[in-house]
Amino acid sequence: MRTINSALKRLGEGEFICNVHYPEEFAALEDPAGRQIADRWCEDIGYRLARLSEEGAYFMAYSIVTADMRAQVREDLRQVRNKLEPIVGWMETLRQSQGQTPNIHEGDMLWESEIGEAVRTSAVLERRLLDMKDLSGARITDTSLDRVRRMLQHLESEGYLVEANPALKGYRVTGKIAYLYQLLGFIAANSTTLADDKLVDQIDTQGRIDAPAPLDVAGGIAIQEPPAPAEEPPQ
Amino acid sequence: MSTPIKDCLQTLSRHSEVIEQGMGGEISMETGTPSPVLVQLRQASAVRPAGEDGFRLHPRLREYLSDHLQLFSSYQSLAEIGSKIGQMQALWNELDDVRDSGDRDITDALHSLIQTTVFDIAHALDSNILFLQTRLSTRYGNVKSLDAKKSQNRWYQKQTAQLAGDLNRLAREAERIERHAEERGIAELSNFLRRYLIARILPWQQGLSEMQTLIRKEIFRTREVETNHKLLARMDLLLRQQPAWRGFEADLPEEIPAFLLAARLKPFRPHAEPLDGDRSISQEMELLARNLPPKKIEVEQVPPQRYKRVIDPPRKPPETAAALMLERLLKDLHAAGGKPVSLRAWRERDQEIQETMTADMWLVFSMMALRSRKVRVELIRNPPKLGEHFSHTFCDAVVQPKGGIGLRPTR
Repeated sequence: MRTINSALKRLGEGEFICNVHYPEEFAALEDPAGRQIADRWCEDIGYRLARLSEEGAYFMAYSIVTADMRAQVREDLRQVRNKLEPIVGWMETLRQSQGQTPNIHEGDMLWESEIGEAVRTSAVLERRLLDMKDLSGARITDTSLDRVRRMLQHLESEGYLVEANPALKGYRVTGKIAYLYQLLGFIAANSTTLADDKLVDQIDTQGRIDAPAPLDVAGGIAIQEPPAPAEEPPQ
Repeated sequence: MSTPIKDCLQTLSRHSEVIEQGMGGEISMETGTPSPVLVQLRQASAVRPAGEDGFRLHPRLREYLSDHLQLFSSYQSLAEIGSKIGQMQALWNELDDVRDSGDRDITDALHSLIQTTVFDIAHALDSNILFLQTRLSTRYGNVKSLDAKKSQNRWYQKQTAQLAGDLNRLAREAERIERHAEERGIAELSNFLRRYLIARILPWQQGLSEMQTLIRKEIFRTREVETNHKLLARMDLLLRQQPAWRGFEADLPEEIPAFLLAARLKPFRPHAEPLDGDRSISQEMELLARNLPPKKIEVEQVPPQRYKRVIDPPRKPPETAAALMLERLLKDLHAAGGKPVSLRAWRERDQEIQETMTADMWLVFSMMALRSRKVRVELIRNPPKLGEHFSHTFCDAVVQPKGGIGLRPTR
């Protein structure tokens, strides 16, 4: 009973209850009796209990959608950048720091030391972290590891990560990440911004400033002969 | 006393370290195995040549050790049962042929072989299900990358599909052999098949179906993970390259996805000595009231309007003059009591027909109507004209009622 009360409190706070972040509350909501209590409670106060997917995190959502609310949602999407920043940048940094095998889905483990090392050895990632203006409290004297630590702490306070191993600074990705992916999926499906239906991989032959323009003789400029292949050095 | 089996096992025991090394890869003199040891293992058929001067462990020995130690390597094939089903089928056919000869020894041997094959099939299926459960519950162990996981997913999807096909075939064959054995009075075999094979097929099929569902889910998840990564990278690029992009005009669907409607209650903020006339308090209360979720409007339940289906009573089609005439003809034919009746003569007696139909029309109509009632009607043909081989015309038709069949009037 205590856990279901706690689950209701979290729902009211707007938290996403998943197996990683609030395991006991999640278990209470997985229980049919607990879920019935939560359903009734949400209904009584004018909301409903919703899930991000069949096995995803629980959260509280509006039950009745009025015209005003639709207009509000449309306005939110018009200003969706506010919701995406800076989380998308931070998550992308985490993705890039893990190389070819990124683990940034619910339940995946992230280690501060590993990410810090990856950032330290990559000039691109280091530059990326230095350019981040949304890291509140960051100082000019901060090392890249300090910035990584701050980024992980921010993600934890936003509910996307939870500290699973305080001694070794291990973080686990929570179920709220599915919210971000669903939002990105919705943007991709409903706007041309991220749609890649007509995208074809091709080499774009861009002109170079330092190369002479190859125009024909009639145009007044002689075609330049391609440079002869360099002679192979004697063996 | 020394026997070939004991000798072989002793050789394996003596060189257990080399066999352990062989589980990991090739063994040769270059890897530090002395030549006499290799010769002894070769004599015991524990190793097979591989390459120029290397050796590999006998596949069956490797299989046995993997099975015993539950070592599941990547891309391990599931134990195949197709050939064993074929073998069981062939053994049953042979048993069926030999049974009539009365040779007890051969039938006993075949019976025993069928039982061994059934046990082999059961063992193979049990180990396959266990293997798949282990692989899927650990998500193929610690695979290094998403590509490796996708590849393993594909591999096991194909393997399970093949096994499911074999399992269906096994169910058919086992039931067929059991039925034939029952018919031929071999109760021992039919009971054995029912107990050790047919009773277990359904749990195997269910287990395999569960595994297939899990693999499908896993494939879906890996696809989803890839899509998510791609979208994240592209959105990051967009946010970095287009600082002026704020959002987009969404054409919202009728049912808005739940995640866009995620809500939270307003935090409770205590005020010291709130006054009703305080402007800030009233503003805050207004704000709170505005943020309250909309009330559910109770719609009065109106019972749906009911309609009565009206079905018209069956209506008889209007009777035509031809139908009435036919009815009269049938009555007369019935009254004639089996005597032949000329249709032309009958027409001449009936005034109404003469007014309604011409003679030729009447003949054709009545003849077709009577023949459709299976009444024998014979044509009275005109003699052929000059130059004709056959008669083409007729002038009358005679009804030959036999026992009154079909002559009963409908009314």
